[in-house]
Amino acid sequence: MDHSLAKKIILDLCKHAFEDESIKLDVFGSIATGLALETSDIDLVVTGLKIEGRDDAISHIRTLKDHFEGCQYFSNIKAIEGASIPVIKLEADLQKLRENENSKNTSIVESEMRFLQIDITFEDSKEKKSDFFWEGFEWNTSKLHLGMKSIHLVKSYIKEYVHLKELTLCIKKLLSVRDLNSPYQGGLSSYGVIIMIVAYMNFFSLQNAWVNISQLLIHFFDFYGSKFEENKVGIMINRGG
Amino acid sequence: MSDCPIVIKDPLNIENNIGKNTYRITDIKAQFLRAANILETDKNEFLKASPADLKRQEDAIAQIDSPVFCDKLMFLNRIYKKEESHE
Repeated sequence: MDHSLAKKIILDLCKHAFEDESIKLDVFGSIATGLALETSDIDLVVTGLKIEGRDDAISHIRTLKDHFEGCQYFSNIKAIEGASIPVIKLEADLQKLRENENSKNTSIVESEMRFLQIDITFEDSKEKKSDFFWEGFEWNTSKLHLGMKSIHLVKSYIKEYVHLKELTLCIKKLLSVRDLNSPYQGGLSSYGVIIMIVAYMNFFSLQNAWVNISQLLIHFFDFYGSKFEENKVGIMINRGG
Repeated sequence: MSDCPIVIKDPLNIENNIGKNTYRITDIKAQFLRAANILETDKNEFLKASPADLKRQEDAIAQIDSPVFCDKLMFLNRIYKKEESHE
């Protein structure tokens, strides 16, 4: 629906911008792992372009930014070149999209849902992502897009840890309501939330136990809210310490 | 590392600290603690409540304007219902 429509338009725009039909657009982040809130942004990665270094990525971002600026659906376009992975952030106006693109759904978009936040990054085409990678292929050898790696990791956690999904959604919702979910504004990323939950479950050996989910949530809040001393200990998955 | 507000090691890259920009960790912890207390209180109230009380609670929920607050309560309700069905 709205998401796929926005994605299609972005893909067309990318193909047009780089005059290359082989470009692909993949979704990663919380949409891909199934941990998205209704207000979550969507994370896209463009593959199929040659990127040999940082400069290539930055020049792609500039090219794409110029094209987005010429398109009526997108606003607030920001190219963040200084980030560890250069990224474009923009907002898609879903209302305009629905009105102009012959969308079947012509109802009015709720105001707080109207602008869809989108992050776009680039990945080198040579670094093919493989579904087998989790079984050990290309593990350390490739500089695979970290976002793509983390999808596989998060999905495997969700399979392994009972209730992880529900806990994550609930904690994400709390952080999002309090505006504490953006690492750019001192908050905690959802990846961070997942790591915290997994570490917590490891620490108390809860990963497979049949535990009451609400008790789990209360205990999680209590543990990190009062018992946890962030200036003394760090959070790490292996040992859960 | 000690300069960071909180250390959360990225399992994909041990050098990477996901928490390096989380300088509002104190706020986050406060929210967690608040949530823990609210949930704990609600749980205890729920365990004490009779079916008639529950009905009244549900009616009260329907009247609260704030969608966020409402959402949260509905969510709780759902959790408790789930819990009951398991028992």
